[in-house]
Amino acid sequence: MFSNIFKYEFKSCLRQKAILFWLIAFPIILGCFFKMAFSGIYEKDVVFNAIPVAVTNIEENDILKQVLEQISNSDEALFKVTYTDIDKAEEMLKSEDIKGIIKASDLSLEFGSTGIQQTIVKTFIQQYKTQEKIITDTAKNAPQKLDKVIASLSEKISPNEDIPLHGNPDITIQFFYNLLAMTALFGSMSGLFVAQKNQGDLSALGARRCCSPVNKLTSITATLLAFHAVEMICMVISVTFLRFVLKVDFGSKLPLVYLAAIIGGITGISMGFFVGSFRIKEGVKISVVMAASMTCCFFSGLMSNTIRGTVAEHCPIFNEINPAAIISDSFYCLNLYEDYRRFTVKIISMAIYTVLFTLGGYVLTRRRKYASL
Amino acid sequence: MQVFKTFMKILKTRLTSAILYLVIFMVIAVIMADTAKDNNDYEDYKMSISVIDRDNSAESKRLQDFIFSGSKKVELADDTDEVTDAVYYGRSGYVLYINKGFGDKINAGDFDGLFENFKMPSSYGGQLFESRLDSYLSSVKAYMTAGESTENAMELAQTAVSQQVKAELKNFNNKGGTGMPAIFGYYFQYLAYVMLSMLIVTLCPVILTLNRKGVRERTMCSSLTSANYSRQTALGASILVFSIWLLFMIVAIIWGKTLNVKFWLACLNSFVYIIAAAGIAMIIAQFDLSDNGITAISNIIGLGMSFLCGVFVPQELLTGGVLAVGRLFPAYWYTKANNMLFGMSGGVFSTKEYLICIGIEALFAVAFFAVAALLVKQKREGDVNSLA
Repeated sequence: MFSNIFKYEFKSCLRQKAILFWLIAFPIILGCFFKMAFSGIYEKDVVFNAIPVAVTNIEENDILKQVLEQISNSDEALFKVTYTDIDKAEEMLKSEDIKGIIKASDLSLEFGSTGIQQTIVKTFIQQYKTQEKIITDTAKNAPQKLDKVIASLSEKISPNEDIPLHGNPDITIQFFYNLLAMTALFGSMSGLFVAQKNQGDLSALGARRCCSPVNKLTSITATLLAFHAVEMICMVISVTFLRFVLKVDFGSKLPLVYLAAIIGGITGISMGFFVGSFRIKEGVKISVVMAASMTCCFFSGLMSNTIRGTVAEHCPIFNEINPAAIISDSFYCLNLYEDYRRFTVKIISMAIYTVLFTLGGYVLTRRRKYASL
Repeated sequence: MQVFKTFMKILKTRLTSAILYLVIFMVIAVIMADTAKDNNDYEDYKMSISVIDRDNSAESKRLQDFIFSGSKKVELADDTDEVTDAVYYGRSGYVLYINKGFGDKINAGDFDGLFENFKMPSSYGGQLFESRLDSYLSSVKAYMTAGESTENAMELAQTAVSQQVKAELKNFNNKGGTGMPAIFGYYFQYLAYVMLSMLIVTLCPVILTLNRKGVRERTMCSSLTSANYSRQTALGASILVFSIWLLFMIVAIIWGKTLNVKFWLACLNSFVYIIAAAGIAMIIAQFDLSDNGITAISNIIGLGMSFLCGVFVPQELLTGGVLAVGRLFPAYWYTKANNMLFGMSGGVFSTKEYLICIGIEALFAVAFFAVAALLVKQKREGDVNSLA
């Protein structure tokens, strides 16, 4: 009987357009939108590129000219310099062709807006003035050491060593992690179907099942497993589409990305099964599941990449219990960590949620009897 | 007013879901606005820096005084997971580990291998912080070469590096300058997503119920003219749309406190936009969708439009191709007008440009309602044919 129910539920689930939409079409459509929106943003917003600046009255400051030429002509150029007069420079600033104007005559600056690039320009001038001040101070207080001090200023020091970041550093990829988390949690819509199909007061099929001699536990378990099987297929399709069609770089541990997505999907279905087992109106159940999924995904960073940091600062525990954050974290751990310790914790957390939701759903539906159907 | 009363009765049955969505979307709008960066007033960009001091010497404390004189301090434990999360999710722009023995090395004049750091590779933030740190250390070394003690050298270096540089901010074309907090601008920006999603999930189910085959056919058989039916439905929908808009504006008024002309222009922008959004909801309502289908459409259109039109990602960061697609949606013009009003995403206010944006949003609204009306007409003609 178990295999019969499983087979028919599997077939029936594959014919549910709504479920297939949520689990396949939704991530594909939104994935395409994300890919379009985020193309080139990481390189534009995060990765350092030479900052375009204009320099005026350069003939009045030969030393500055030498320094600027040194730093703008190297392989890792700090600035892209245009030497011009103040009127032209202001025109360029207004049209946002440059980030700032350096006036060589008095080492003052002019900006059209504020931001990190402008502060880098200001820091450069501060450094230049710092060296001037040190030389002046030494000339005043210890003139005999002036040569040594000038030599010391031009010596290269290497005080700082980088700890490498493993994996793909593109921060926009977390939107795709959250898209998969959202797809997994929207699996809860199919979990609602499972509960509905087994409740006599919610569907005709449920009513017939309540009258049938099949053990309820067997019937619900077979239905749940059939839906899990469909969800697995859908999550595999979603990850494959994102990875191989949209070329989203999930890192080198792709099989485990599939595993995390599948387990996330199973968690989503069990969440829907749990909510669906409550005796409340269907419309309200859908609203609760959707609102809960959206809220979890919002706090996990679906709409803003900084929200996770804010939550970590004010309520770090929420990131550990938010199902969407756990699912997206599992992809993140695979990308950035070389070991599997944290990934394992996330997978176990998803498994615990799945067990708790499923048991909760069983408890809520057991021994439910109807006087009349 | 039978239809109007029925409209309100259906709405009442969906009130729990509507309030649930309202609260969630309101929270999303407020939190997103609150976490957005406020960088409209001229000041140096203050990076969020974390220092993990493994030396705990007087010298390392002095170094930290210098670092946090120009940066925001983010406390982190000496834990790889916490550090990686903080850097990746933007909580901390740079994590500096002060190695054990830092104080001894500095005193001995050895400036190599003092630190380790963790940051996003090749980032602007890393470049900024490292150039400040290198400048400071070079200065300390130079002062020590000049014969100063370590303590004095660190103090003198801090003074030298922190010298003021005259920097002027040119306010071209009245850029920014709303007199209101920037988060207020972000609140209005996120309303583009929130109001559209809210309308789709509240208005569509009511219209769909009224349009259900049996109900629609019974209404058509009644003495009620179709013009009267449409007027009553429009009245119900208008009250719902206006109430949602008003609720968000009341929150804005209570939250923003400072109200000026630009605030009212932002209100006008959101009002025209919500009418266009109502048009989208009316089109969706003409398709026989389930509750599930409506939620799906709301997510696809709401999230998709927001990402393509610069609601969640600043318009200045989007590529030309994406912006070209974005222009086909009202959210793009709404966000553009909002950017101009609040000086966000490189927006520069111009009355003419603002009016163009509002005008295009209004044209979108007209077009959407025309399409919705056409769909209603087609449906009615189909019904008449099937009844005949």
